[in-house]
Amino acid sequence: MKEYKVFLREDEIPKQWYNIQADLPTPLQPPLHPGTGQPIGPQDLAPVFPMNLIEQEVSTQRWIDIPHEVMEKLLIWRPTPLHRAYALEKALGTPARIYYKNEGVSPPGSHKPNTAIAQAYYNKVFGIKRISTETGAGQWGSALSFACCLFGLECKVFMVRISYDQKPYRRLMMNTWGANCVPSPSKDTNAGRKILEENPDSPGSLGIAISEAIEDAVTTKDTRYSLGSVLNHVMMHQTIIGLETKKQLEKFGEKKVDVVTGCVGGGSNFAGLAFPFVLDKINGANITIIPAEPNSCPTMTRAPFVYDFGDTAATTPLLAMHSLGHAFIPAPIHAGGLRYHGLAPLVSQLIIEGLLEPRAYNQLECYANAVLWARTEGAIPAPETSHAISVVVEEAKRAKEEGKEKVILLNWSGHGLMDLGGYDSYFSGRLVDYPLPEDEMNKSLKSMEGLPKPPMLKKGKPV
Amino acid sequence: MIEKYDDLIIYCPQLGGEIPFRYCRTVNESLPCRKIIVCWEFKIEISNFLGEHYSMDQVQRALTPPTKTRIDTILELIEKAKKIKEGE
Repeated sequence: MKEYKVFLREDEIPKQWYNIQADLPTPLQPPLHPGTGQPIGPQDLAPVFPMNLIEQEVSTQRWIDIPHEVMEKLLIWRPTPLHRAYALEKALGTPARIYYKNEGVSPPGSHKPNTAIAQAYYNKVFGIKRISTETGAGQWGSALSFACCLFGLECKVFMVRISYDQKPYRRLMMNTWGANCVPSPSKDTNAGRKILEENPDSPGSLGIAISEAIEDAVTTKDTRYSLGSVLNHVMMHQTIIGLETKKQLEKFGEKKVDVVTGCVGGGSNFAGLAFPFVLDKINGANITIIPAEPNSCPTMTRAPFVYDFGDTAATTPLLAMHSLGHAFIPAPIHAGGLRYHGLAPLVSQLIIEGLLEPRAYNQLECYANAVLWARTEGAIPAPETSHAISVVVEEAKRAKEEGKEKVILLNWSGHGLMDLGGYDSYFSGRLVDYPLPEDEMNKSLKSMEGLPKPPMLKKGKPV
Repeated sequence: MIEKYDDLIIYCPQLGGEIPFRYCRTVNESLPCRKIIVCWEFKIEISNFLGEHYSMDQVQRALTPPTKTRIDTILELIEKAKKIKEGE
């Protein structure tokens, strides 16, 4: 009888996170203070992050123990299953063996609680009583609300008001887990009050919400701020995905993986699956590791390597990363989680090192492949996940052409049940493809003129 | 009439949800979103709309990337917070 999925026993779950900073051929360049242009120190970040997470952020220790208290919470839904996609293989007529790690089984429905749980724990042991954050449509906000609930922390989520009013379900998830989710702009912060004084009907924006969350963190006793992507410690917390997967592939009888892929917004779900395999590649394994992105938001495949801000509101420290500029807002693709204009510095560096091979896909192709997935494997993928599915389909077809039995691995990062509006637009023919024109990108890049340019290093040497 | 497209709906990749055109034309401190042209050019006559309802200066202000970094805002907020704590 065929095996469709493999679970690990709970005592087989990895006990440590993998920190790829220990194995980078070129160490990450330090974030710069925007005022001085000098590398920032722990104290610069201390008003918004607890010191134990700042230590993880800069750590080069290869393996970091997962605290028992974190493990207890992760075990609520972990280990997650690794599935073999037999039906998709059959539909494609491919000799490839396709596996997918199902991160959609967490209570909030995505990979995001892997780091939310860890961040909540480290804040708690540091003595923090309360965490603030911002959210657009609510995916990160719901993950952090869930995590804070489990650790008895207060959680304040500033949700962009237009989403707060129009997307009640994730807000209700946050409320159910006990978080205080308020529409942004709110009356709770100076930033929000100022906006409301000028425009009481302001629908808000992600920039305003970030400003409110950070003000809340730095002005409220025992409160810190939490970010769900981009930062090094966030990537590390996600590596439990790939570490579990390695053990599960062994149980499937696989000795070698040919292709590893995941979608990339900020980079955390891709990093979570891929980084443990990047270690194998650094040590000589022949693996093609493909981060997938939308063609209308070509952060990895077309953007230069520069210093830029970590979010569209330019509120984070300057980081070395691939970026289109902090003014860049992606074209109207149906993949909210891929909205970051820049990706994690760790992912950027691995691209420079030649360890990753990014690809971009148009949204119509992605939706077509997402529908194919739903009609073969059953589950409806999140719009973001469909970019990685497009890699799988492409590689499976190539394997068919070449007559090779490749092993293809995908991070199925979350379900799309909260994003069915995008499918509706696809079925009704309202979606169009929009590759970013050269002049649009050039305009965006102008926003970075005057910022310091870091040297590009490969294996420690300038390139 | 500036409201003529207000009820048209589009998916906003920054927010991760559907929004009306009204949001796109007001989100940037009452001016249009910086990406309004990219998002709407296949759906309405967006360039004509901007030309009809906004001055060149307003369009430039709306579509030009900001020069001030928000990290400055964070540092300002930290200083404000210290003052609030000192005043308590």
